[in-house]
Amino acid sequence: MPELHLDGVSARAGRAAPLALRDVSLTIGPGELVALLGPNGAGKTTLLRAALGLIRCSGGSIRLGDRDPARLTPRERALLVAYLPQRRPLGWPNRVRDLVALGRFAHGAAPGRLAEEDAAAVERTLDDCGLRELADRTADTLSGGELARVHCARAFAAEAPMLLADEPSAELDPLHQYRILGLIRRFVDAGGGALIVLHEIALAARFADRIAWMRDGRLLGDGPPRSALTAEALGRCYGIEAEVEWRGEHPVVALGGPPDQR
Amino acid sequence: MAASAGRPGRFLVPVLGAAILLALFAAVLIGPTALSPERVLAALVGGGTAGDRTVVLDIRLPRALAALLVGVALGTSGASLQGLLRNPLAEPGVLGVSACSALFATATLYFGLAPLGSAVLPTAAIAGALAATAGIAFAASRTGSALTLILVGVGLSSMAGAAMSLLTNLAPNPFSLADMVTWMLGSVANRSFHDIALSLPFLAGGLVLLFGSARGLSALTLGEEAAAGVGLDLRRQRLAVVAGAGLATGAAVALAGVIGFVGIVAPHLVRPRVGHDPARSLLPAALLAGLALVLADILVRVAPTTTELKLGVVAAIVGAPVFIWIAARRRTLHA
Repeated sequence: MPELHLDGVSARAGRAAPLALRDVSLTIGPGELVALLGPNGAGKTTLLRAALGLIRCSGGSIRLGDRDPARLTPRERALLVAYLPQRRPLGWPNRVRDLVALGRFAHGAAPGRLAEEDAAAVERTLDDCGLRELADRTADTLSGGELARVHCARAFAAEAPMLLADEPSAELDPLHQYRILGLIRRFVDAGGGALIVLHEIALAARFADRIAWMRDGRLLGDGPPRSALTAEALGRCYGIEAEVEWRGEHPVVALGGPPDQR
Repeated sequence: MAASAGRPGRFLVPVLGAAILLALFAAVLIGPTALSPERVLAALVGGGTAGDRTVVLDIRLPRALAALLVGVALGTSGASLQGLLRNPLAEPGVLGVSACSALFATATLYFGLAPLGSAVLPTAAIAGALAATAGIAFAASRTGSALTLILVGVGLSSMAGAAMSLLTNLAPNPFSLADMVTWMLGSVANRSFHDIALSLPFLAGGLVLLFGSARGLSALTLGEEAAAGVGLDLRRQRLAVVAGAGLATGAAVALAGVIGFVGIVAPHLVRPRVGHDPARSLLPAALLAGLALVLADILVRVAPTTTELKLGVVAAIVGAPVFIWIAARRRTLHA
């Protein structure tokens, strides 16, 4: 199982854009779910894209296993990392099974033309993600929560050892957020490594092994929820006042406004 | 296996293939010289009288095959471009490839180069399509946005249209004007096997590129970022489709002039029957477009008009309302 290792990474979101990542170091190993939290524009998406090798770093180095992801072919990369981008526009109202089958693209599969191994992976994933009943529906007939599950299933069907997901639970109600994170947690418990951008602090505390705080392109720190989720960390990261109280395993987070508006 | 059960569009390709064979036979059967099916069949296998063979093999068959090939080229190009750009309105016409190709063809007529050799005009048409293609490929390599590509195409199309209007405006004599108009209207009348042979290598090359890159079109349904994430080489995919569509469209324009709408309508009709998968829509869209043009060309020949109708005109008259109907229906579906 490969490890994703960022060492002092700096990168820009575009050629002329200012630095969106400054000296970021982070390691995600197998069986580890790391939640990346931070305000909008903190550089979370840029971090994921740099880790995938989709954009070049202007400083530092990234290793995926023993390879530099920027030097991998798209296919090699897809076999190592499944990627769930933030925006997931579907071009056509495809059937659910065909969309999940696209997760097997790097294995040489195409919808409707699946080798035995690919078909088995697709069927397995449909069951794991509770999509069995929806398999023959077209995407335009699904609810937002169902569609989010389809995208997750597409990523899992690749059976890559690593998952990078950008706000996989965005725009979902609490129940569906839990279901999505539950699926990712199961992937991690089975030995996968996952780096997930999240905005829901409670979800991160509930499901992540580590929380990494990000602001202005810098990693403020990371650690297990119990030690990383503090009022002080929330203040430094989001610039809001907060209270955090732990009730057993679960934190209760009360968010205030910015300090000068109280 | 559940994955293969109820596979959509299973019968589409065999049915369309059979329909094309029937349509081709009808095309060589029907015409001003009445021939019985027996005489047509005899001529097709090299028998019959010399007169029968001339009518069937030299006049009707190449014309019907030209219509078929033009349809196949435009249907495949349209379906591929729609898959690449994730937009049901994309087509060689929209991207300016047809217009640039026709512009180069009419330029040879305007400057009186066409009579210099039978290869001049087709070569110019293909050069025009490739020039447009190269321009779009250049834009494609610099932008990740499908919308930008479409806008570049619209600009290219308008530019070529304006230049073509200028040429007809300045046409030196009524004969070259009539030639140019014929080219813009689109027709397969009087095409020979020699004409087909001139276009065929480009057509075949384009189809190889398009069918070879079909699988990537399926991945693009996820959006470009996620498609790259599942292992698609975006840049190579764009270049393959743009070059393939350029070659195939150039060959089609060289053979028949500008024929619109079939490249939009055929993929539209096929798509729901193949689970909206762009890759699986390629072959049926090609066959349907080919079938449509063979049938339209029969219609053109039997229509009781004093001057023969142009295939491109009939394709537009039939295709445009169908296109509008589909577009309107699509909107209500999404509302």
